[in-house]
Amino acid sequence: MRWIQVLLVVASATASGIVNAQFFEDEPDVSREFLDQVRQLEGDLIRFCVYDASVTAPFDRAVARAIGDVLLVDVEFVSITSAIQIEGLDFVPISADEFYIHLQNDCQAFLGMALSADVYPDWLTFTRPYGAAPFVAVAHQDSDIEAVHDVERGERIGTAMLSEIDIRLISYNGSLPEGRRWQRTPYSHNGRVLERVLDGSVDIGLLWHPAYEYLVRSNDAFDGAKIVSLDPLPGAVRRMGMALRSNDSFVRSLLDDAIEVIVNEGVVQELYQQSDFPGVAP
Amino acid sequence: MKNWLRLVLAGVMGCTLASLALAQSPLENYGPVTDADLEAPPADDWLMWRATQNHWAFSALDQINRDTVGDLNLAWAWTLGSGNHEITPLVRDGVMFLVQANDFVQAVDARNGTLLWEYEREVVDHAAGLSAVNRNGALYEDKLIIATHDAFLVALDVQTGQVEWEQAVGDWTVGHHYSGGPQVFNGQVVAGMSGCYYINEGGCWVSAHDVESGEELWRTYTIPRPGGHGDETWGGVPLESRYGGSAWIAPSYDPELNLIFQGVAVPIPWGSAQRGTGEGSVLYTNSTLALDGDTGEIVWYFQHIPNEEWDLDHPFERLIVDTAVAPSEDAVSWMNPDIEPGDSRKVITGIPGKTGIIWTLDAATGDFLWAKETNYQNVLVGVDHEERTGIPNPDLQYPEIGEEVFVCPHLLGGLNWQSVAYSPGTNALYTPTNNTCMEYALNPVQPTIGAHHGSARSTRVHVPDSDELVGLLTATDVETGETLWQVRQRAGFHGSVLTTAGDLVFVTDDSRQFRAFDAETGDVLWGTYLNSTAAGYPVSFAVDGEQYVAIGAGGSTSSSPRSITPEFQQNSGGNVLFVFKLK
Repeated sequence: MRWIQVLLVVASATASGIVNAQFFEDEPDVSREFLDQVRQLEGDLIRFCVYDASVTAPFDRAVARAIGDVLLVDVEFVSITSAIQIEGLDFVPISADEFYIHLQNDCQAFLGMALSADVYPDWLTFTRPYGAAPFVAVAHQDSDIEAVHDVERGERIGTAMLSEIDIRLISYNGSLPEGRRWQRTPYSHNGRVLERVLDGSVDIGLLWHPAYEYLVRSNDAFDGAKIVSLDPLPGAVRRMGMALRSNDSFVRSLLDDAIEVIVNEGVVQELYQQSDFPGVAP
Repeated sequence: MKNWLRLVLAGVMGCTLASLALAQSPLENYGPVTDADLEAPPADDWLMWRATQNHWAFSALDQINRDTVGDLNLAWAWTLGSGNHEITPLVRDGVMFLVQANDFVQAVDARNGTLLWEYEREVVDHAAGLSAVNRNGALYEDKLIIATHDAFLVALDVQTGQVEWEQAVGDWTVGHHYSGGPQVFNGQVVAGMSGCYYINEGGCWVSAHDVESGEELWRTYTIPRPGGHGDETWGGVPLESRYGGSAWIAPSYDPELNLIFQGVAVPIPWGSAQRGTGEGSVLYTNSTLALDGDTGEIVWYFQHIPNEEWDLDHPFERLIVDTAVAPSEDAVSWMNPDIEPGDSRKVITGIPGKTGIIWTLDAATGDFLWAKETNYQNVLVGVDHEERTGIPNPDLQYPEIGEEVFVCPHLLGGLNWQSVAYSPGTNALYTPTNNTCMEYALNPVQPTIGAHHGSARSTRVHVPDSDELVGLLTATDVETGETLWQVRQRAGFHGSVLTTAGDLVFVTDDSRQFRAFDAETGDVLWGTYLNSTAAGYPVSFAVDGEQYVAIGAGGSTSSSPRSITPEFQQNSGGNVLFVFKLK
């Protein structure tokens, strides 16, 4: 559509024209020789970066295509990789510098970002959420544990470090008298949490539900756990959106409008059902 | 002229120039670097990161001195490869070795920059932007040894740049990389591993390697192993969930004590609430380690900030000085009450961490002697000399996730990787530090293995109710702790210091000035503007009886506080080596 093309041209020109006009304290100090100084006019095209090792990547791609349908633009993907491949990885393990370069050189928006208030640098901005999925507690299937409250105080609870559910555990634990707390044991990724549940190092593990499903479906070594109640911990949900450079606020507003449409029209929920992974439209 | 004749003459001239260059190549006169050279380097050379194993960054050359420095002029310049660097040119017998970003190495004629050879290492897709940065190589025998962005040690033939051996030491895919370069001590290649600010399980280490093969001889972890000393300081967190302790600055060495002095960086994530380590001190993070030079065994340690929470790393260089110790109560911030004033000791001194505090410890025992603030800080309120730790400010400890605290200095220092220097002529330390603070809050962000931890967000601000002069260049008497002189200015000092026997102190700042100060008075005796701020370490050397001063501009310029001193702007990039000599 001509109007979309015009709007994107304006947005792109704006983005490339004010690369350094607006100063952000924590903007990566990436040498200009690594940055494309001219952004090509893309016509009716939005290019998305996607981290294909993430458990959400297929769903993220489907959402981007749906957005393209709403905006009547073509969609292309730039597959981003990292050196380390971890089963059940649920976000993007690349540096801020790389992120900055990709958003400058390769794509307008980065899919599959966990949305958290006030934790990202000022030079990044985010769309509204396009998906959400909960965290779960898992125990060894042979144990008598049916809920977090069955774990004796002082015993270990494994968590995906600083995930939304881990923050809930920290907060809840902190509200208890010192002798009544569980021993929070943070691990570096979901797979490690599940491993430690299965080998008995921890009585219960807290991890993201899509990651747990991915792990048990993709590797027999992860068989042997069961989902149990989070009680008394409050539930936690991770919301997913897209990251853009703050200077690209116009593109963000376009994407926000399109996300609103696909959420309200039930497209996102349909995509979750097709993907057969846990999640709900936000 | 006929074309064929022109071609022939051009060919003859080309051959002649090539022969001339070959004939004059300083490589022909290159003498292997011996152990004796490393213990007492020839004044004309600059063989290692900070010139000598005691990390003084002092050149014994005095042709350029307070009387002649006014005639200092550009001799030659050289465009360096792209990428962040913190280059230290090494010089031996008129050959200069330039270890640049991502381990791009060039050997050039130190008189004029004529290229002799180059080595280009395949660049891996490392997640850590800082992996590109390299501070130094090490010269030994006929080898240039480098520590690489992909966590290898590599020995190059100084005559050709060909690889003699290479040894994988860490796993770059989980974040390991070198940034502090290797040193050769006691016939061993010693280097500290960095990149443990990425999530990799079990923390970093210092290791020693056979100089002929790279084979690992010993390894000392900076985070305790289960059952080892300090295991209990991690609050029951299993080893696989302990992160951090990068050793990202090259160690110093004292042959008399046979001790290696290595600094250790912060635990990861930064907050104790994030780590789950409670009130544990999380050894050996933010500590000075004294390691046995033969085995790497920890002989003593001193923890400058136990249970650190604000990314105020303490990996910087430890300078070794023989001096009388008589701290002045009026001059220092804290001192050991048991000191016998005037005792002569071998001390380690300098600014080991981002707080900007000078710490002076007994080199043989690690006993605390005295400490002094050089810039405003509010994170330490004292020193427990019996427990051998700093005392953190209780008002700033144990921040909850998301709670904002006001911390000084900012997490880029005080002092960051920029290095101080010492002059035996004045028995003084010369320290480039900065007055900054930050609004700081721990993040509820989930890191994962092989990824950056993303522990906190911070906003750099001026010291409240201050004159907003950021930069401080301070000369401090190592015996008494007294301030001999101080330069205060708006531009930050984010450059490293060089001292010389010409009674000069060279340093750069955020305004792109490269200046020479009188070591005794602090008077500015010479200065010039570079194309960029300079992340490189200044060095001095001599060839054919002429003294030179060199510094690499550009590079890792992100320390410059652009938000609080916006008048000092510059283009990114701009990696250039400048070499000066007298007219």
